[in-house]
Amino acid sequence: MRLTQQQRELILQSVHSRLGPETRTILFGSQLDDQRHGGDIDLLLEPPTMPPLLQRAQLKLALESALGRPVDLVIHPLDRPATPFQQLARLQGVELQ
Amino acid sequence: MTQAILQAQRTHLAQLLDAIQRSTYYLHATEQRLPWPLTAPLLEAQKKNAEWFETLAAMNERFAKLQDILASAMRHTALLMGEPTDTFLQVLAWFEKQRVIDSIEQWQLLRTARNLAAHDYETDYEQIAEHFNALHALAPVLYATAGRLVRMCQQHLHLTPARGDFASEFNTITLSNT
Repeated sequence: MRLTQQQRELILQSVHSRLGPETRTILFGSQLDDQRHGGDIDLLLEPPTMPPLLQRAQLKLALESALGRPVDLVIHPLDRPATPFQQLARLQGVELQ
Repeated sequence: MTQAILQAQRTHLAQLLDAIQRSTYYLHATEQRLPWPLTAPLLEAQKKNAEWFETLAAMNERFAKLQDILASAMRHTALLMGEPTDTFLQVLAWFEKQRVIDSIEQWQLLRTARNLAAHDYETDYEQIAEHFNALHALAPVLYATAGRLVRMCQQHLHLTPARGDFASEFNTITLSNT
């Protein structure tokens, strides 16, 4: 994983303050590959229910501002079945804690 | 800036103002064709109605286009008014001060919300409905910004839209959303 401890804490603080502390946060994609450089930060977030569009947009902006790079959010609300893409992200990702 | 460059800049901005009026008119017209608020059952019932989904696609595109043209026109307006334009953030900060946009944060939120849109949700009618209801709720912010920008160019640069074909409809739409 290429994220520092400080970056992981920043992510968790932003996610928990906006979507609730019970939201699971899973990093997937290129940030897990130590051989690569740069790139977006891909996060799968699992809140209990789907947050409104503007709340998701605010979270994305807050994360990009705090981390200084593009962030892609995939939201899987736990009251709905995961899509195949969300299942893949969960299987290949690492939960931030 | 030489006289020739200045004149070319002014002509270009006049054309952008025209594009703003036209884009406002068409985004508003697209909105009028849909029954608000959209709901998941309504969209599901219309899922094979190409006309409906073409209207939704047009709304997405026209919302994005209007915001992009506004951004371009703001940059050119700032340039002609001798304001710093090195970064778009500087441009936004100046227009926030002039009260053309409500806030930098709101402008960025509009952009992010519109881009979050159509990612994985093509078959999730609840998400599609939420997305378009959000665009419908945010469109008046773009209309009001468009109205303030065009009036600012008229007052401070004595510049009006190149053709003005959509001027009267534009005034009606933007004044009712100010």
